[in-house]
Parts: sequence; C-alpha cells; structure tokens
Amino acid sequence: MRALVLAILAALAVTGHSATVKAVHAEEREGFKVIVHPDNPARELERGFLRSAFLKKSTEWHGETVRPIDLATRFTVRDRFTTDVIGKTRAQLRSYWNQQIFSGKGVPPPEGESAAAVIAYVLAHRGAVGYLPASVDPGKARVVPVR
Amino acid sequence: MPARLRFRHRVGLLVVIAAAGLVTATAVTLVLGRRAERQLSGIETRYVPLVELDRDLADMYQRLTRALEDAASAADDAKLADADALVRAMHARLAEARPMIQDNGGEPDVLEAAFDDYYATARGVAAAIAGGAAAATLAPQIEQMRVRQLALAAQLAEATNPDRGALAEAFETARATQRQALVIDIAVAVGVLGLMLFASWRLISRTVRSLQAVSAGVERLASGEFATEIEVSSPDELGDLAREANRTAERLREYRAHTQALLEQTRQQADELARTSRYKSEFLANMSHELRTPLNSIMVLSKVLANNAGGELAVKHVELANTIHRCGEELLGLINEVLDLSKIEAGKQEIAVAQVATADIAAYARSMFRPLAEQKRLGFSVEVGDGVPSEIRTDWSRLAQILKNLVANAIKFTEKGAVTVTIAARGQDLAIAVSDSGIGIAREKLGWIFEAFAQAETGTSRKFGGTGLGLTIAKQLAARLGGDLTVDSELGTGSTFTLALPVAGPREESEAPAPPVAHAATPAISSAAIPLPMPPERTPAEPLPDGVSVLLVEDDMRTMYSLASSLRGRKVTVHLATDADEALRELERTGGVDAILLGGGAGAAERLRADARWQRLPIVTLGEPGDVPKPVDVERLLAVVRERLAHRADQADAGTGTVKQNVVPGSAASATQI
Repeated sequence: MRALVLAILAALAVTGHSATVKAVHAEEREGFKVIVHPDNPARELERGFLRSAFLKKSTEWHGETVRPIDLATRFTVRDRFTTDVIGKTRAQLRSYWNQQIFSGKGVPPPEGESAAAVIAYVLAHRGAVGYLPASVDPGKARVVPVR
Repeated sequence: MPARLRFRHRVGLLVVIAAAGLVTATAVTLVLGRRAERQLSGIETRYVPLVELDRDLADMYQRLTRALEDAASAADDAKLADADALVRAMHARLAEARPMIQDNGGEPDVLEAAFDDYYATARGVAAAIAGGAAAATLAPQIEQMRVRQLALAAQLAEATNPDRGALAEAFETARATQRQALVIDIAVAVGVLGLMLFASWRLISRTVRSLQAVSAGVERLASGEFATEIEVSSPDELGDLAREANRTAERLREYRAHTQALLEQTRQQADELARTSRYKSEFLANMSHELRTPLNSIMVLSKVLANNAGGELAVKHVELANTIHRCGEELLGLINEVLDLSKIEAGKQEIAVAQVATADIAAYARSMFRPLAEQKRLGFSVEVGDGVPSEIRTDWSRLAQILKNLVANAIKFTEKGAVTVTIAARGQDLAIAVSDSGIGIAREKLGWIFEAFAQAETGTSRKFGGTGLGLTIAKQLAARLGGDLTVDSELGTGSTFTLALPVAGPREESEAPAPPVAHAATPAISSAAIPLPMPPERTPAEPLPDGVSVLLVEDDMRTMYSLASSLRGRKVTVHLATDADEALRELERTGGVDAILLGGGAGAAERLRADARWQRLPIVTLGEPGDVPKPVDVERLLAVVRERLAHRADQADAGTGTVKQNVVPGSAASATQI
C-alpha cells in the first residue's frame, strides 16, 4: 500500500517534471504574440483582461465590442495561450463553454483555421483581439505586449 | 315609584358597557380574522401548486441543461439518454399540470411544443459537440437553440408565473379585512372607553355631591340642628340615607319637643313642690314657735312650782314639778331640733363667718362637756395636735352646735370608758374628732345614720330618747360650713365622728359682722338633755349690751313666761312681777333694773313713778295702746328697749338720778334660770 502511494507520487512527479520541461521547450520553440486592430489605442494588455475577454466576460473596450478569436485546435500555441493566459486546461475550457452554451449564456469565440484567418478577422473588427504563434508575421495587425 | 337608578345598577351598567365592548371587539376580531385567514389560505391553495410547479420545472430544466452539458463535455452519446429521461419526466409533469397552467392563463400545448423544439436543437448541439465538433462551428445551431431556449423560458414563465395582479388583489383583500378588523376594534375600544369614562365621571360626581350633602346634613344633625332637611337629590342608596337621616331628624325634633314639654312640666312641678315645701317649712317653723310659747309657760311655771318658794308643797310634789320641767326641756329640745332641721332644709339657716381661735374651741369643749362626762363618771379629754392652725374661719355658733351634738351623743351612748375630743390639722382642713368607747354602730348602719329621723338601732330612741335629728342637723351644718362630717365605728368598741372644716372658711361664706361668741356664750347646762341655744327666729337685731336687766310686769302668766323665755334667750336678765306691788318689791330686792316692761296692771306705771327712786326708769308699755303691740314681737321690743336705754344714757350723762340702788331683800318672784 505504502509502496503503491509512493509509486503514484513518483509517477506524478516525473510526469509534472517532463511536462514543465516540455512547456519550457515549447515556449522556446513556439511562443505567441497578441494582436489587435491597428486602430486599437491599447499599447499593452493585461493578462487578466485577456482572460476575461476570451471567456467573454469582458464585452467592451475603447467603445468597441470585444471580439476575441481563437486559433484552431490543431495549433499547439492555442493550448499554450489557454494555459498561460486563460489559466484553464483544454478540458476545463471546453466544460466552461458547454455550460455557457447549454445555459444559453453564450458561445465560445470563433476559431481561425489559420494565422492568416486570425489576422484577417482582427483587421476586420476594430474591437478584435487574437494571438498568433510568435514566429508568424502579424501583418497589418498590431502586436501588443502582455504584462 | 320613579325609576331608581341604584348604585349597583350604575356599577352594573359600567360592567355591562365594558363587557359589551370586549365582546364586540372579540367578535369583530374573530369574524374578520377568520375571513382574512380564509382569504390568505385561498391564495395559498391557488398559488402554492403553481409555485411548486415553477420550482419543479426550473429544477428539471436545470438538470436537463446539466445533462446536455455533461454529454457534450464527456463526448459521450450515451449520456444523452439521461437527458432524454429527464425530458420524459418533464413531459409527465407538464401533462399533470395542464389544468393548472390553463387556469393560470398559460397554454400547455404551446409550452410543450416550445419545449420539444428546444430539446430537439439542444440535443443536436450536444450530440455534435460530443461528436467532436468545435463549438465555434456550431454557432448557427447554438444560436437557434438559444432562441428556442428563450421562447421556452417565456412559455414557462407564462405558465407558472402567478397572475401578479390577482395575487396582489387577493393579498390586498386579506389585508383590507385585517385593517377593517383593527379599525373596528379601535373604534369599539375608544367608544367603550369614552362611554365608561363618562358614566364613571357621572357616577362619581353625583355620588360625591350626594355624599357631601348627606355628610353636611348629618353634621348638622350631630350639632343639634334638626330643622334643616337634607336635600334628597339622588334616587339611590345615598338618597335613601338622606331620607332616613331626615326621618331621624324628624323624630329627634319630635323627641326634643316632647322632652322640652316634659322638662317644662317637671320644672313647674318642681316649682310647685318647692313652694309646697317652703310652705311646709314655714308652717313647721311657725308651729314650732307656737308650740314653744305655751311650753315655755309650762317650764317656767313648773320651775316656780319646784322652787317651792312658799314651802307649801310636799317633797313629792316638788319632784313631780321637776319631772314636768325636765319633760318640758326635752320637748323644747325636740322642737328646737325640728325647727333647726326645717330651717336648714328650707335653706334659711344663716351662717355668720368670722375668725375663730382653735384654742377657744378646745377651751369651750373642756368647759362645756367635762361636767357632763363627770356626771356619768366618764373620762373626758381634749387633745390639740401639732401644727394645728391657730385660727379658722367659720361660724362659731354652728360649730358649737355641731360639737355639742357630737359630744352629747358620745356621752349619751357611752356607759363606761372615756370620750376624747381631738383637734388636728388635716390638709387644708381642721379635723375635730369625737371618739367614745360606747356601744358603737354596726357597719351596715353607718351608711344611713345621718339620714333624718333614723337612729342607729331600733329601739334606741326608746332607750336613749332623742329625735334622731341631731346627726342629720350636724351633718347638714357641716356641709353649710363647707366641710364634712364622717363616722367610723365598730359595734361594741366605740365610734369616732370626725368633723372636717376648711381652715379658709366655706367657699360661699356670708360675711357677718357678728363677733364670735366663744367667750360670751357659755350657756349653763342644767340637765342631761342637749341644751341648744334658742335659735333666733328672725335675722337677729343688734344685741343689747351684756348684763341688761329688765323687770317684766305682766298679769297674764302665759304671756309673762313666754316673753321671759324669749328675753333670756337674748341674754337679758329678766325679773318678774304680776302687779305693781310685786314690781315695787322686786325693784327693792334687786336694787333696780335697766328698764321696766309693763304688760298689764293698770295704774302700775303711776305707782312706780310715785316712788322717786324709779321715776327716771324707762318704762316700755306692751299692748294696745302701748309702745309695743301684743302679741309681743321680741325683736321690736328689744329695739324699743335699746332706744330707751340710749336715751336714758344721754340723761345719765347730765348727772341726774340713780338707777340702781342697794338690794332690798324679800320678793314674791325671783329671776329664775330656765
């Protein structure tokens, strides 16, 4: 019994460690950048604002409707953004949105099938906010640092 | 009989008012309270199931969305079965609640249709998500679901939300009922309170007014004013009281009138009695006087007889004459006592108060009673205690009378031993105690020995003689002198009579200028009888100087002896003669007198004047015509004698004539001591 508990703890520890290593590695490999419409007056964004914007809890900024846009789920940077900024796992986030959907409160942000689609969406809406893998050129969209 | 609102009726009225108010308030509260309760319970029965339905549907809907959520999140189609089961349950619940929903103005069919629409979409969305579709891609379906969800919510609200207007109205009705009850209760309470206050105030004010009237009336009654009636103002118990008091006053008025009439009658009777008594006393006094006149004659004549001047009588006859004389003296004593008592009782006894020396009282007692005691071979002593005041204000002659009475009694009732007179001070009084070693008086008889006409022992008078008036007179005289006479005695051992007289004199003393007679009056005692001085029959005039002697010439023996007796009572030395010859002889014998009283014997005056020695002698003629009319008033006679003597004294100053001459022996009559 004791041995079993210890074994489980050990397994958890190894897994956690490897995940951390992998994340650090991924960040090194694949960071993200937050983009907004070029007319957006924001020069930097707070992590908390981004979180509430992507959970559709903040609905307005600078006189515009906040319009968050996700990358499609196949982009690994999306998971990174979800973890770092929204502070939820993918399952947690899905649960959150299902609750919102079936209680009739709202629907999750649209998903861009590509970085270009995200950029296009951002450029199309003045209140839009999205994110791109760090390596992708944001084009005319403006990148704002996250504090 | 007018309607009488009695106290208990009034108080009862108050109680009835209070009870009626209480009952009314309670009834109103009960009826309206029950109505309000019914209204509230109506609301409950109508709206509670609706609320329950609302709650059930909301709960089931909640669980349905949760089940859809779970199925979507779990990406598991099987989970949708739970949702389906819930939908079935909801349908069942709705079917059950159809009438209620219809009642509430909802439409069950529309509701169920909306529910089915919604569920169809929602199940599709859930299945899609569960199947891995990205939510973002399902936006149209989700939007549709949301629309239908809203439509369903609207239908549900429609079906289960109570009709607010009706509910509010129902509540308002119930509240109105409660308010109504409260208002009525307050109104009743205020009304009853007001009524009770008013009734109480009337009751109290009327009662107090009536009470004051009755109280004032009774006070008037108590102060003896029966004339004013109490005003009967209230027809209640107080009114009854006032009426009763008035009746009492009426009776008291009658009673008082009756009493006054009786009193007046009694007063008249008392006056009449007093008048009768006075007449009797006067009659008695006159009778005594009338009795005394012939008695004096008997005594004088019997004495003359006993003297046996001519030596013609045998010894036996002399003894008989002496017996007659003694009997006469006793009779005289009795008459004097009766007269005294009647005078005292008639209040005619005058007392003349003056300073009397205690030493004189003692001396008087010694000289007066020692011979009497020695006659009976009794010891006699007078003792004067220490601290005895030297003088006492009193009437000497009355004191002497009392003393004589007491000591004579003591000697009379004592066979052997001694009689003692003790003079002592006792408080403000001088106590003169006369003690004897005589037969004494039984204790039960002590109480009435001072009563008139009572002697201590039946048969006493037979044995000892006497009227039994002596002690009565003594007691009454003592009272007149402001003192008291008491007795202490034991049968067979002796008696002590104590005379207590106030040293300061009687309270209402009649001041008399008469000098004390302590020395002047030492009347001779000729026998064992109580020798009382002849009491003056009228207010005594100024007495003649001591030692005045007169010659009474009178041929009527009775007049002669009664007049002689009266004059001797005034301490006048009287010589007697029946005619002119005798008168001349008497003048020769006595060597002259101060005045001649000429009663009868015509020509006597000329015969007397013929002798040069008696020429200047004052002659008072008695009878009509004369200086003093017959029957002779002694006072008037004395006044005339006094006048003549004064006249003669004036002439004597001129140095003419000789009044008294040497004694010429030999006379037919002699001045006799009675």
